[in-house]
Amino acid sequence: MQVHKIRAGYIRITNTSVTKIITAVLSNWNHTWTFSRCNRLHHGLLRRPTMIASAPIIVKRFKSNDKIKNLITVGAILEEALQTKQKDSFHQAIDKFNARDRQRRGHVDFIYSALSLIDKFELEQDIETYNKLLDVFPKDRFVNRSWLDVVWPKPHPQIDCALDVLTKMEEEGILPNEDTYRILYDVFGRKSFPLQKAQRIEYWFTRFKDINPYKLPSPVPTDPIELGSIALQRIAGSDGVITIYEHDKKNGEDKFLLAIQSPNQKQFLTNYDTSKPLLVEGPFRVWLSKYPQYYYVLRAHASVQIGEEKNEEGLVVGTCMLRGNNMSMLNLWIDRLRKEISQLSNVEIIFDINHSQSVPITAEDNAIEIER
Amino acid sequence: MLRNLVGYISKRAEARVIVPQDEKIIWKFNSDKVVKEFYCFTDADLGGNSDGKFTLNSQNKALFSGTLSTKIKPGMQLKYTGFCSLRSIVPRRFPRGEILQDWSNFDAIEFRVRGDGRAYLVNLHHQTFRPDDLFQAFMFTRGGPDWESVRIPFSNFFLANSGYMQDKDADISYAIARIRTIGLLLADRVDGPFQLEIDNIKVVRSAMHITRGYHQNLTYKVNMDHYRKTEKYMKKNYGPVSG
Repeated sequence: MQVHKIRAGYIRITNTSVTKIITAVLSNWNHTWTFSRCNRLHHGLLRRPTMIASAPIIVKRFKSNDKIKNLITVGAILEEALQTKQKDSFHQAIDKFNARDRQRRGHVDFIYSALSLIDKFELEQDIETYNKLLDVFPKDRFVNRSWLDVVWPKPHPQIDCALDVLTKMEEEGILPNEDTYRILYDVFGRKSFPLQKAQRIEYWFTRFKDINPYKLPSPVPTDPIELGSIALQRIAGSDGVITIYEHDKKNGEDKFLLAIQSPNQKQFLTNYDTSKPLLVEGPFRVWLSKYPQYYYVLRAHASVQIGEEKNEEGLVVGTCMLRGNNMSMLNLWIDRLRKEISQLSNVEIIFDINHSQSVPITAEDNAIEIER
Repeated sequence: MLRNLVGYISKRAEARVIVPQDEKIIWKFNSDKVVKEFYCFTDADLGGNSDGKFTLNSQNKALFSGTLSTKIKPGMQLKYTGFCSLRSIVPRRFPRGEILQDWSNFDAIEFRVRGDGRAYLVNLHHQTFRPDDLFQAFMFTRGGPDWESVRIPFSNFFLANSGYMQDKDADISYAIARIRTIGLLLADRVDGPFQLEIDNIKVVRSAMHITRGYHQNLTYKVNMDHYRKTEKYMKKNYGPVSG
């Protein structure tokens, strides 16, 4: 217990509570009954156990020089860690900050700066990093101590800071941990906004875990052929057979031709009326989460009737994806199909590239695909 | 007037009511006139970069297309941006008032679409004193050259207010009786062009339905007049119940 004399007639007492003063004063009397009574008073009134690292009741106000000095040192700690972009160095930087002083002055600035650097360390998916960052908050300082704090809440910027950290977690799709809940409970209390947000993240994420019927395998494959196969299976159905007609890598440029055709489609082509033409249309775009895939489609002529329903567009009898010179690859595809299904050799093929509904595929689009 | 009787029945006494199937086409997009009943707004109005439009394409189907951009311009005071949305215009009644839709006799909303693989949000706006309230549900599209019918039961919808999902149990049955607008929203934070072709929008009722509540309570809805009609229908077609 520390007693400071600030102004004449007034004293400021830090690191304790009022009941402790009473017990300290009364315990000097050496009367056992008062002492034990005060102990019960002590335990009855105190709602939360005082932590070892609890902050003083009066917060020291920053002068502008101090704040700038603090920002510089915070920046220096993080810059040192940036030299080696690893999880260990990031965690060590947090430990260094924590060791500086017990009250953790300037922790809001530190947490915001560290949060903006998580992407550079590639630690977005790591729950331990977020927990360690949330652990920087001083404990037991922003908890509501009475109903007055609930009715007139103190606008701690730390609450917004914690909400920002949790928002980043939410964006990356990470569920909070047991440790996250424990830390948020210790820092902000039972009915605080950050703890509520963590609960909401868990509730909604578990509720929406399986609603996407077209979910990609995780981790998402980066190989363009694998991604292309997933897209083609989605288009043609599960009974489609994928064939890789050509795949070579030269000078770092990938060239491939992937095609899919189901047995029903093949049979339709064997019985096709050879007087009617077939159309090759494309390129069309299908999105697989955040990766666009471009495909071409082989269609029967619209006048060929299938079943009882009226069809405005012809039936799809084959789909392909390619990388490389578009026209030569498409010709290759048609040649291979003609080899497999001899009836097609007399059928006229009309190429309708850059169809009105499609988007022209340029070299830039190809480059974007490769980067992703 | 007890048009709808809502009963909460425990799992042991689970009963299924056989009600005839029904559907009602609300919008069929085969003319410019219908397409003009929707308007498209994007975050370009708030200073963003996305653009979108809703038009009729050459095959007489509505096309919602454009580009989504999450780029934040230097002067903007926003943290996140990038959305394109479509909303129907509420028809007005003379001299004053709005014409609201009542879908209490139906279970689900069905879209006949040809999408591009992106996830859209279906928004149902109802008459309420909280104008930012919106019932939302995810609509996942397959992509590819084939058309698909996406059926979203009303129990899949969750309540959101200005984009934030609400905690409290929100029973959509009160909102379904007073629908103002229906809308589609794209905000999946992926930069790039999108296109969604829509053939029609209809509300459907399946022959046998058990509604699952918001918090997974087993509830079911009995329409009283349909129950009576069903009895007549069953007696007529299948004869009186024996035994």
